[in-house]
Amino acid sequence: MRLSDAKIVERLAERNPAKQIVITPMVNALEQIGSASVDVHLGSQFMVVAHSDRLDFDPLMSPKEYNEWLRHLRLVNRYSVLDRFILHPFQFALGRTLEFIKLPRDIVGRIDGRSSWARQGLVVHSTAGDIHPGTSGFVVFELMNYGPVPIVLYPGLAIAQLRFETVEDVREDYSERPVSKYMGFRPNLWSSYPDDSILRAMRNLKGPWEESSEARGVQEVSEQRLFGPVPNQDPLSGSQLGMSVPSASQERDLLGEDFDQAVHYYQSHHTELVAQFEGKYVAIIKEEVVDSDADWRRLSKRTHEKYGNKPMFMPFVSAEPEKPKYLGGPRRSLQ
Amino acid sequence: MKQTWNYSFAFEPPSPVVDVDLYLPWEESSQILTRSLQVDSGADMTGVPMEVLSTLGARPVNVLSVFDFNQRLSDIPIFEISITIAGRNFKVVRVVGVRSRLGFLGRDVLREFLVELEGRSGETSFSDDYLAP
Repeated sequence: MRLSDAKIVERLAERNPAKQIVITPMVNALEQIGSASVDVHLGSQFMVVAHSDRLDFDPLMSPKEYNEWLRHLRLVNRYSVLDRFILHPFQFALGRTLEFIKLPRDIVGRIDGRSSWARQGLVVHSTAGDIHPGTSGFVVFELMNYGPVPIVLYPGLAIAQLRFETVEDVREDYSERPVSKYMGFRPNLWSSYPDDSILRAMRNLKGPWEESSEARGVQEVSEQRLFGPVPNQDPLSGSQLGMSVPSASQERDLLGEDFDQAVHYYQSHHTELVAQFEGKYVAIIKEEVVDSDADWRRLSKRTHEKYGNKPMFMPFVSAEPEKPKYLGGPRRSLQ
Repeated sequence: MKQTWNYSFAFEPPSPVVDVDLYLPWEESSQILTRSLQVDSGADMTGVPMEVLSTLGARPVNVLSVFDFNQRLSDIPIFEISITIAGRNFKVVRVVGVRSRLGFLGRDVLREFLVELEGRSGETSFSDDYLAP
C-alpha cells in the first residue's frame, strides 16, 4: 500500500530503525511532503559522459577496461548553490539527490519527476526508479533533457519526488545481500563493474582477457578512440600545427564562394572602407557591407538574427594590417 | 566552480586535455559536440578541428595570418562557435579551424580561468570562482 502524507510523517518520526525512513537533510518538511510523496532536491555532483571518442560500454569488458572507461567520464565536482549546470537537449547526465535516504526492510521507494519540470522536458530517471528495501545512500538521477531548449539546473532545486509503498515478508533486503553495488556513499555516480553469474559465464566462454587477441584489439582501439590517434601518426597539439593548418583548397567548400567574394571585396575596397568604418568590425556578404559595430560579439548576434548562419566576412577595419596570431611555439626567434 | 580532468596518455609525456561542449552561437537548437581540447598556453587563440566545425556548420567570419610552430605564416579561416567548459558558457568565441583531430584551448579562453596542472597526479583543474589578483 502506498504511504500517505500522515504515514510518511509517522515513518520519518519513527524511533525504531527497523521501521524508520530517513531523509536528511529535510530542508522544509511542510513544503516537501505532499499528499503521498516527498520532494527531494538536486545535489551538487554531476557526471557527464562525453558523446564522442568514447569506447562503447561493453558489459563483457575486463576490469582494466572498465577502469579505463571510468577515467574518462566527466566528473563535475561540487557545484555551488548558484552554479549553473546546463543540460542540453537530448543530453544525458547523472546527478544525485541532496538528501541521504535510508529505507527499512518493509518499505520500497520510487523516485519520480515533478510535473513542472517534466513539462520542460526534464526526466530524472530512465528505468531504475525503484529504491529497494534496506537501501541507504543518495539516489542517483538519470537526467535527460527531452525538451527543445537547454535546461539550467542548480544544486538545491526540487526536481524529483519520492513515493513509498509497504512490502511484506522481505527475506533479504538490499543491505543484507552479499553484493550490494550501490550502498552508501560512492564517489562515482557511474554504474559499478557489471558482474553477475551470466556475465561471468559469458566471460569464461570468451576466454581470458590477457590471451584474447580480440581483447587486445579492443584495448588498442579504445586507446585511440579515447585519446585520439597516437602521436606518431598525427601530431595533435596546437604547438605542432605545422601539420595542422588547413590548406585553402580544403577549406573552400566549407567557406563557400560568397565568403571568398566578400574577402576579395574587402581587399579591393580597403581604402574606402577604412575611411568609413575605421575602428569597427564590418559584416560583408558578397560585395555589400550589411552592418558594422565596434563590438564583434554584438555584430555577430545581430547579423545572425538577420541572416542566420550564413557565411559572412567580419574583419576589423584598420589602416594597419591585423597582427598575425601565434599558435604555439617560441616567438622570441621572430623578434 | 572547479572541474578536473585526467591527462591524456596518448602524448609522451602525458598532456593536459579538457572536455568541452561545442555548438553554434545564437542557435538554441544547435547540435552539441563534446570534444577533448589540449591545453596550450602557447597559442593566442583556440583551435577547433575542421571536422567539428563542418559538422556543426559553423559560420566563417574572418581570415587571419597565423604563425605556426615552425614559424610558417599562413592565412587560415576563423569561425564563430560557442563553448561550454567547466560549467562556463562562452556565447561566441572566434576560433581557428585546424585539420588535426584534436583541437586546443588557447589563451583567449584560458585567461578566464585559474588553471592548475598537477603533473605528478596527471590532473588538470579549471576553476573560475577565484579572486583574480
